[in-house]
Amino acid sequence: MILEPLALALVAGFFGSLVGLGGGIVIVPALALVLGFPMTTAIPAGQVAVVATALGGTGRYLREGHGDIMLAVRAASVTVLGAVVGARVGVLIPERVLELGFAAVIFVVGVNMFRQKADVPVDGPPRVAHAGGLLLLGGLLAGMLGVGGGILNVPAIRLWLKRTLPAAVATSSMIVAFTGSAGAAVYVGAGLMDWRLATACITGAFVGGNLGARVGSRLKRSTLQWVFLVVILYVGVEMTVRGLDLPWWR
Amino acid sequence: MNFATLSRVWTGTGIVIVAGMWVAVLWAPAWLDRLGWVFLATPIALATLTVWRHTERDRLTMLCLGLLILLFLIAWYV
Repeated sequence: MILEPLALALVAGFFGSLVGLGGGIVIVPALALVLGFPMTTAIPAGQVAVVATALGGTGRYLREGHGDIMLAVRAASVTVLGAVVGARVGVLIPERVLELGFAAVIFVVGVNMFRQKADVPVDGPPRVAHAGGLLLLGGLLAGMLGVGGGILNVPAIRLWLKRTLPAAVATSSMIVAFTGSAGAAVYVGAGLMDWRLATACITGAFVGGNLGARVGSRLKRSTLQWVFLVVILYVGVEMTVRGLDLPWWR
Repeated sequence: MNFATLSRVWTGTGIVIVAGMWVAVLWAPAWLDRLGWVFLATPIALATLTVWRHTERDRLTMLCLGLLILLFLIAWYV
């Protein structure tokens, strides 16, 4: 039972890296729903897969010159703070409330993203405080839900730090490496990590992340924007149906 | 060190650690946990190297990098 998680992680890593996410939002439900792993095993494995996707993607994006490592380090100091706090306080908040809140934020930022053209920076001066708030929220949700938080990093960098979409995707990929690593460390410390499963996920996600970045940096910007729209809608709908606990989802 | 070289360092380090973890899975399971920690420390170590070699590094970024390392230590030990 090691090839199936590897293949799943490869697909999740490819799409995650393509749009600046870690892929945790795909791999965690897939490990639980498709392969039958308990969530307590799937979430830590998903977190290390997120790190692998980002590691593979960052290597590629640095070469292509899209990512801004300086911005990534500054932003990551906010997201990692959120992730560390989120991992601690997440247990106090009902999971359904978190999921519905996450879905609401996703839909709001998704609508804002698609009012902009993908290939030009957004007009106006950068709003660092707004971006910092969204990055902190992304980190908090990443720590609470065991995902990378890229779904909020990309809009924060795009809308309020006024970067183009490819630059936001590449920089978010770097940030996700740090957020995921801090989140995974908390799970390892709690003794919840199955390293055999994690190794399979890491391998698939690393290769998928590298391939996704390779394709992503060649993709037309409008196409990238549409791919991101599909992913953001999928994640938003999934979070909503999970949060509402709709019977047909079980 | 330019970005093409740094890119190779990021990808190469990832490949070496993933290969090491497979060796551990197959022949030395006792090492898996330790290699896992090395894997989790890799992004911050590579980011430190990348920022250090960056020609435009500034005080704010170095401060954030220090904060990031501190937060990682908190995440790992608390």
